[in-house]
Amino acid sequence: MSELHTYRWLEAMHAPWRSFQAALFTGVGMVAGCQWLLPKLPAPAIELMRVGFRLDDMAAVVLFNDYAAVYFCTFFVGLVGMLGVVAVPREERRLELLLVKPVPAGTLLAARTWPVLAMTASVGLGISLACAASAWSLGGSVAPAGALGAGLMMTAAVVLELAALGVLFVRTTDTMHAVLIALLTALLPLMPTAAFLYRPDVFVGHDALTAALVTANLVWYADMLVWLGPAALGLALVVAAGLVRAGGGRLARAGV
Amino acid sequence: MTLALLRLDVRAGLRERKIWFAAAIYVYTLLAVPLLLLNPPPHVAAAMSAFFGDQDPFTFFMYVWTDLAMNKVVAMLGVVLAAGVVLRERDTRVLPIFASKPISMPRYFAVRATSACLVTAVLYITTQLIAVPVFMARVPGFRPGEFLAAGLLHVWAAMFATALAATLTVIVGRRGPGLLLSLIVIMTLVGMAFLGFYHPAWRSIALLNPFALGVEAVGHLGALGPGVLLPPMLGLAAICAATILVGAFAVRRLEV
Repeated sequence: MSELHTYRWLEAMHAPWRSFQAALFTGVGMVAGCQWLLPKLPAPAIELMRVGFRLDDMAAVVLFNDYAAVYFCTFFVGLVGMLGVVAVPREERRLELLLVKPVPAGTLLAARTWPVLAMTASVGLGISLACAASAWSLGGSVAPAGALGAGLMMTAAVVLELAALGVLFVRTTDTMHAVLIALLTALLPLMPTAAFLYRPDVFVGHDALTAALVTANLVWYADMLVWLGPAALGLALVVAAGLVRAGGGRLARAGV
Repeated sequence: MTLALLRLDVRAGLRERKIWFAAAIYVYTLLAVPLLLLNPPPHVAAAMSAFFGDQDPFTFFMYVWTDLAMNKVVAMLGVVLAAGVVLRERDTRVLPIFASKPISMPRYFAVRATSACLVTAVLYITTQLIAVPVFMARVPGFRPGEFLAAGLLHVWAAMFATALAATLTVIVGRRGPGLLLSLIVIMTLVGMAFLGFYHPAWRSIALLNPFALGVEAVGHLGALGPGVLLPPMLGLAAICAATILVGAFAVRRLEV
């Protein structure tokens, strides 16, 4: 057991830490950039977002854009990490070297996946804290705790998506094909939001659906997200645990 | 010989499984975009007249088509087609085979990157040609000549995205971090493509972004001609060539 402990520790040491650091700094930089850039834009560009997404003030417009930074920065870096779990070794024909060690396939997958998911969640938390700081300094309609919760909600979505993609990546032979599928997975949940800007008439009478699908909900329900965001991240990690197990089973059956 | 290799590589590139996915994405945008235009709300109409100086529904169509659909798709596909050119060969241990052929590494990189750009262009232009009858039937006030002319400029932005992904990845020298950098840089640049229209005072600075050159036609739809189209087109062609050249220099550092 202690040997497996050492093994897990070694795998964690070999996760792409530098990439995660870079993504964290980039995300925080983007939050700072939004806060600098958006108030400088002329009124029509701001009004399009403010009226279109039913936001109260400039602070809400800035944070709405910040949440996209949380989403994409954590997703992109998590994606690179998830590819390194099995897909890249398989493509580079060194997966058999990993699988002939006296470590069961499921344990191997878990030991290589969890550092990535944990770091993804940490990067999301870091950028969410930057969102909270931004909300605090803007002093507008969104409370810092609401901004933090909203960022964590985005992080939860990313963790869930990556864990599900991890199951898919177990049998991938072409990593760029996997990247294409992953990018589509990332864009899919944002499509209702784009539709909402240009066709709000379609959403009339579907209040529950609008509240659930349009990501401006991160601003609309900031008060609720104070507890819902962290809870969602916790739940996402629990579901991810199930998905990692499923992926391990799939790897054991698939082999090299 | 280089040209023969280029031709073969483009043909092989077009037969990859990814291309079917890419084609499916283009078909989806073709079918989805007209639905977004059916009933524009007042806030969108106000923003369009502020950005582009007219209330023409065709300008609105071109903005949504270029910004929401094509810009995102070309950024995504550029990365998927080109991030990892040469590095994938190195990591899968087949690069020594290519290195033993009578072609230098910089030239090999240039051929592969150019081939990825040409695959991008083929996909883009095919989509444009298929789009003309579809949009003529489904988009009221659609003007095929201006649509194709704007596309002939924007396809160079698509090729730039591809060239940039190829070059950034070889500069970084590792596929994972290179992929991450390409995704973040290209998505950020694409996100700011229309900045010059949002903030006219920043237009000259905004045009330093190659993707801003690619969308120039959208702001001058009534007056499209060689005077409007050729300067950004030539500029983008030069930027593409320079980008590939930088990558060709960087690739010399790689150990085979």
